[in-house]
Amino acid sequence: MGISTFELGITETEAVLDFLAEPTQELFGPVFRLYAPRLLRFFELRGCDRELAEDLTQDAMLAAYRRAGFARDHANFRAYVYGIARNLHLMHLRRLGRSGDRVELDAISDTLVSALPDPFARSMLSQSLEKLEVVSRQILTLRYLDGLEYHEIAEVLGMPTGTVQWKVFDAKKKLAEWMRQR
Amino acid sequence: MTGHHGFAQQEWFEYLEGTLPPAQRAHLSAHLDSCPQCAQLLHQIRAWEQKVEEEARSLVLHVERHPYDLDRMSTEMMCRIRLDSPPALAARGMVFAEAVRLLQSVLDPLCGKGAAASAVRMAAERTGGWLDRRLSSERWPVFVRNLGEGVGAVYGVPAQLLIERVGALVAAEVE
Repeated sequence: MGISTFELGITETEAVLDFLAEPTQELFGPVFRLYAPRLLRFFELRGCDRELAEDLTQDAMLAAYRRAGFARDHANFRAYVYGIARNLHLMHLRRLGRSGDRVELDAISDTLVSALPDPFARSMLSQSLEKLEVVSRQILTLRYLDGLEYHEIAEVLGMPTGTVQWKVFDAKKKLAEWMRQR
Repeated sequence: MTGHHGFAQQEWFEYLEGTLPPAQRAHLSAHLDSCPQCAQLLHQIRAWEQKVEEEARSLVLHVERHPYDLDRMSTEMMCRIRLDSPPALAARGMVFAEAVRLLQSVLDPLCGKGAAASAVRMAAERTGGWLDRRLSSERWPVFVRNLGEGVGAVYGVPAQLLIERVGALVAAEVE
């Protein structure tokens, strides 16, 4: 339900290329309108209410604007933006779980399984994800809910594309076995 | 299904994704015709994929049932960009310079010298108003937090923690 590139009169690649060539506020406008709906969805799917999702989306897009120099090229821009969104979400979880100055990194993980809206709480997707280790869960979530390509998932999670593909196949194999045994 | 029957895991992956070259695809298809175990597993994986893709589409529609107000958000974003651009860094004072240089040296191997300098400059800009004075125990934690959040947004929570820890050590040294 976001804005389409047709409505915007410019393709995603054109918008990103224009912005990266000249990272001005004016050229960031189309990028914002293309990416903000995706990030809103990203945060809402991870259990944030609309208000929090808007705040985190604004923070992520501002970080993407101010640190545009970190985006290597337009082909990696989507992964760059989702990487920022994921980091901000983990930082948000960290703040929620903060106790004094002690922070347990192990306690921080993507919480999609417990955050799925009610109608989907017992869905095949939810039940499947519960069967997997955290990394495989993150990969399948980024693939099936956020629609990222494998090389983009690899960029977001900081691992080789081959590892992502191996984990995807391994996870699917496990889930197929699980389905067979049900 | 993997590590046996003569096919690598990557071949199975590419077969499912439809990216396996035609010759290898034909070879693997022929194996599936003669191996009920592999054929059944492949069938189950596809059934799982189909079901999960349908559920994912429904879930996205469920989340987006209330439209986003992009016009308002876009206006707010542009206001934040305008307000969030204070004057450039003008560092003064040896204590401040040394402390900043130390933190920057921690960042150098992580994100490269140019990006590290950039991150420090942006954190200093965000901290605002303190750069004409010497480092104070009040302002240093704000700078460190801004730097940690800036770096953490791009490189993750571990990088943020690293900056915060080193920043705390530096603060203890200069006080």
